[in-house]
Amino acid sequence: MSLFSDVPQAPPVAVFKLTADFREDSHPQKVNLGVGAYRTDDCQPWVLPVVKKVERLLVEDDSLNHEYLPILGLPEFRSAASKVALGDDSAAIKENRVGAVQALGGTGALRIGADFLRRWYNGVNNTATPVYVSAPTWENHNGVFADAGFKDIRPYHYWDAAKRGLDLTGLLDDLEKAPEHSIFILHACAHNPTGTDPTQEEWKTIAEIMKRRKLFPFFDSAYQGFASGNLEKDAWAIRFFVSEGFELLIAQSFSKNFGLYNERVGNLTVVSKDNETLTRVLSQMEKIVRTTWSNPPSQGARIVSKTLNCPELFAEWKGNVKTMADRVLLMRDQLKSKLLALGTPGTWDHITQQIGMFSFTGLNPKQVEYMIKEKHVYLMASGRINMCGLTSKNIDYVSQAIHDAVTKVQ
Amino acid sequence: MSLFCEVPQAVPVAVFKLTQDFNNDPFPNKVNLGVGAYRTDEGKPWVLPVVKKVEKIIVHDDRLNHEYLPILGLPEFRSSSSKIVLGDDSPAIQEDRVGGVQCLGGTGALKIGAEFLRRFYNGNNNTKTPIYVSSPTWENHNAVFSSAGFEDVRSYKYWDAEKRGLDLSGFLRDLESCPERSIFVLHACAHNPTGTDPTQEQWKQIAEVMMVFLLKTHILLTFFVCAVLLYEGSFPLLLSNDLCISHQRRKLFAFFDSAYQGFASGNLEKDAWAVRYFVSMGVEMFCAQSFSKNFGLYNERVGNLTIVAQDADNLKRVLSQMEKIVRTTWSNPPSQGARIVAVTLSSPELFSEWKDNVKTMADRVLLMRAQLKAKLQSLGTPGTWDHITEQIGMFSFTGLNSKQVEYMIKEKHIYLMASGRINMCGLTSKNIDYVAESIHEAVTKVQ
Repeated sequence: MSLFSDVPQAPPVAVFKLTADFREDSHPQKVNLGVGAYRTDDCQPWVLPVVKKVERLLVEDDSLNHEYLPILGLPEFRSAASKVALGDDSAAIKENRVGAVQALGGTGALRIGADFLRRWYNGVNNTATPVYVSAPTWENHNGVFADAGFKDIRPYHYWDAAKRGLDLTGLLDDLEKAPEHSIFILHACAHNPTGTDPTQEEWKTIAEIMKRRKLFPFFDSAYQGFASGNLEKDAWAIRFFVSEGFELLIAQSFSKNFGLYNERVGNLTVVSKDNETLTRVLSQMEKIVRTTWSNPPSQGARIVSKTLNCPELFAEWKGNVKTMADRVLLMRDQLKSKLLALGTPGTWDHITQQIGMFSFTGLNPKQVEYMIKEKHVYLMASGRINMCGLTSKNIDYVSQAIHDAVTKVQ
Repeated sequence: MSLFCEVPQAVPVAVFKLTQDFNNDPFPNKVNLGVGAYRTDEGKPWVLPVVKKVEKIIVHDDRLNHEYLPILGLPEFRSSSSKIVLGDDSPAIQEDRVGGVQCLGGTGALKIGAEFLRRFYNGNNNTKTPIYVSSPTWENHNAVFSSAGFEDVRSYKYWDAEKRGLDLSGFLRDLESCPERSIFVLHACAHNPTGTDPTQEQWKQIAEVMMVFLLKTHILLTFFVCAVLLYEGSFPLLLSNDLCISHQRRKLFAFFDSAYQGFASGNLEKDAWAVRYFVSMGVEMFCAQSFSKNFGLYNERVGNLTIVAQDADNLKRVLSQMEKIVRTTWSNPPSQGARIVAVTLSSPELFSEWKDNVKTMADRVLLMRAQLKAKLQSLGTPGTWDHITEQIGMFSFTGLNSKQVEYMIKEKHIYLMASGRINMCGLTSKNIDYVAESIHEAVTKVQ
């Protein structure tokens, strides 16, 4: 009898199951609009030219070795990453009250932040502090905070399915009603999965209520630069909150904007009231890191650090990022035009109003099932599509498939 | 008023604080015998030549990209890692009941294993299952298991300070008296920090006390086997896999920590003997593997959690739950280090070159052990120094007490852990005389 005979089979992560099904599908015109990774117009993964260049520089650099990084990570990576989020001229950085923890992608940054907050925020080991995540949100947010020990994870209103946009009234209402000191996970830009961000005015209102009600902002920033093509624009909300004097956490991912998905490059930026507090907070984060992964992996952080810290490479990187963002914008434009040209029922403005990798099409589960089964176009049950999966070669097929789904399936 | 004004300053990790103090010391003859990383005879870090070669191969391979790895990691890395520790011809692997989870170094493998066991071993979410770690052990073992939720982390007798060796009877007594189903963290080889490993005979005794023996036998032989057991006590027999009857001993769970395979003796098979012996007993167990030391890939965080289950079905369910745990911790693991290891292990030429590189490191450590002992003996330093060459791996438990250690650091600028642990890799042909003389002074002047 096995020690593990009672261990149940866990269901697979939906987005990876979708890709697995896609792989097994032999239909010649199949399209994968599931998992969130950039694809070229030839539907291939894209290693950024600047990344390729820097990898070659690193491998030829005999001054480098493989000695353990500090627990908190590569110092030049941490400071450059925080600067990218907060701005070179950030007052908070100048005031020495910004620190960082190099983490394993955005997930790792969220996890360390969550583990820290559960131990030290709102009292000691207060697992009852409510954690609010948007409805809908990235499917892993809930799991990360639950495994960090938080017992009360709740949704806040976000997506208005009827109007296909932000449910601002619902959101603000939830902010007003949330218990004081609740933690709110905010998407810095390019909301996943809806692609719908608050406007600057809306962010200001959100911040005002959060400050008044003593709510804690924990930003998830996975698409800086990738959303609009402009780093500063995509960081506006974060920088506004910092300028309003909030203490906050930012989980940054360089998976998408550097295309370094599998090297797990992330950074947890910590903005605190003063340097003394920051020191104590980072010391506790060290303890958490030590029992999780001990110290972080070097390769991805070195690539990002070298790029961000060298003006020439930095400029080249921004160019690469814009390439990706522009292709997404082009596909958004074309998809909407084609649906309009087909006369597909409904409004399709949201396709170009939404921002970033994802679009919440508004297709219902039955229509999604039709897309997958009849058309071999793979998308999430929520109706979320990855714009990067669209190419000049498949966009007609996809538009026609959406048209068929909307007209034939209710 | 900060939200975090009550957050206390955490104490720094001792071994890194030691290195920091060393770095800040301006003394020209200072020596760092603290943190566990290999050093050349020039006192420098060493990127293995095979690693440098493979890094160049990887960077020029345009078929590779940076797409997410599967949650459980690079498949070829996982399988070759498990093979390395269990052996190419491992029956357990042939029986499809071995799986791997690519993790962030040895720490990450321990962490995922601990998180899984806390959720699913010995009942659901049983945080009270005792975890036994050796006394002494790697300073992070305790914290990894307690932060995974285990409430009862205890020590088992291991180091006998007086005889400067293994306290086997104490160890066995703890195995006999602990609660059933306790989890034991065992060092596969090159025990950290003592450098003292059980002999093969001693491992057999340890295994005998711990195990649930799964006796697989033909129906016709069942009666015979039972009779043998009753007569002889407990004796492992693996005949065939038709029928399973279990002879219960203390039902303790073995969780191996294997951070030095190849590095300890210079021979991969020899260093994996204990792990393979336990697997041959037919038990379910975990092994946290690190490639930090034997590949010198410390900062790329290359580890593997090898899982030996009863059968493929159990393995499948276990891995599915491990996926859930990985997903909320780091989502999927980093590629670079795993690729280097996978490419190396899967190419006969590179594999052979790697084994040579590993032997280079192990041999230098053995040389330093031999020389340190010889010098202490020729200095006539009081005490016995056989343990320096009897101990194995990177570390030696010198037997220096905390006052003597303080003397070494403050007066001689030789940095070692308060426990008396030294990293043999910190010794070089240039500093070994100074270190030997300093130990001599510490022992003769400080009580």
